[in-house]
Amino acid sequence: MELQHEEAVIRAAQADAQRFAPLYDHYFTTIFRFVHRRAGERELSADLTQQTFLKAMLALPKYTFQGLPFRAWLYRIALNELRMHWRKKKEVVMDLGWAEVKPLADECGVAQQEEEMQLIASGLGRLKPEQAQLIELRYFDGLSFAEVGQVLGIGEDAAKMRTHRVLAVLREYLAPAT
Amino acid sequence: MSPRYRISPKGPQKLTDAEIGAHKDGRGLYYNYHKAVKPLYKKPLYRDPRAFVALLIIVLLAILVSEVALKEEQEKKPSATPQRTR
Repeated sequence: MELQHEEAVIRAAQADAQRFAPLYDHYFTTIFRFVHRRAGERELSADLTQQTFLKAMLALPKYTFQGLPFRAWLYRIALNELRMHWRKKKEVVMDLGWAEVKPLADECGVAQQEEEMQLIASGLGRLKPEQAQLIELRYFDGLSFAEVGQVLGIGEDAAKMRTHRVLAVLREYLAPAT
Repeated sequence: MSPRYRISPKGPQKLTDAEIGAHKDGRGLYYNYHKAVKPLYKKPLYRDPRAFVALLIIVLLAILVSEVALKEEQEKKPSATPQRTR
């Protein structure tokens, strides 16, 4: 959906909730994948995705278009839903494939081999939650820095700077392998 | 909470768009939205004067009926004092 068209659809949905359907149809799969990557279970992901859209619908009158895709705002709501769910859990496991980790591995100059991948996994696990979140959004979800900023409630420059700092920390953790 | 990461060559099984689409429930979303926005009762019953009077009458009637029933029961039973048995 083009930004200009998306803005018009959002305005229509703000005026009449019945016209939220195009946004729901367009972003359902994207948000479901985002949630499923973190929650793991299918039914749970469906519930959290549905809850995300309900919260978005209820908060839509307050939404202000900032020239960024609507999905960034949805990601933010979805993350809040996931955080609420994680409060009840003792451990959170994020399953990833090599293909998903490739952009991060390239950025860190690490080869896609079993040993290196395990080092990345343990390195990510050593990061603080807010640091890990930056890496997830940027490299696993493929968001732009502007979108990462919107999701985390910070500016684009701050998102870029923080991501580079986290990458430096991660490279240190990976140093023995490189 | 900081997650633990598990990285494997293939990763978790990828869901197809059709599998994800099966979880789509636009009707349910609208139902929940309307339930959240327009609750069945805008005012709690006890704050609505008419509902409050109706509830009061029902409660009073219930008390009255139970009182009458209790009285009738007492009248049916002669004032028999419990007898001691040896």
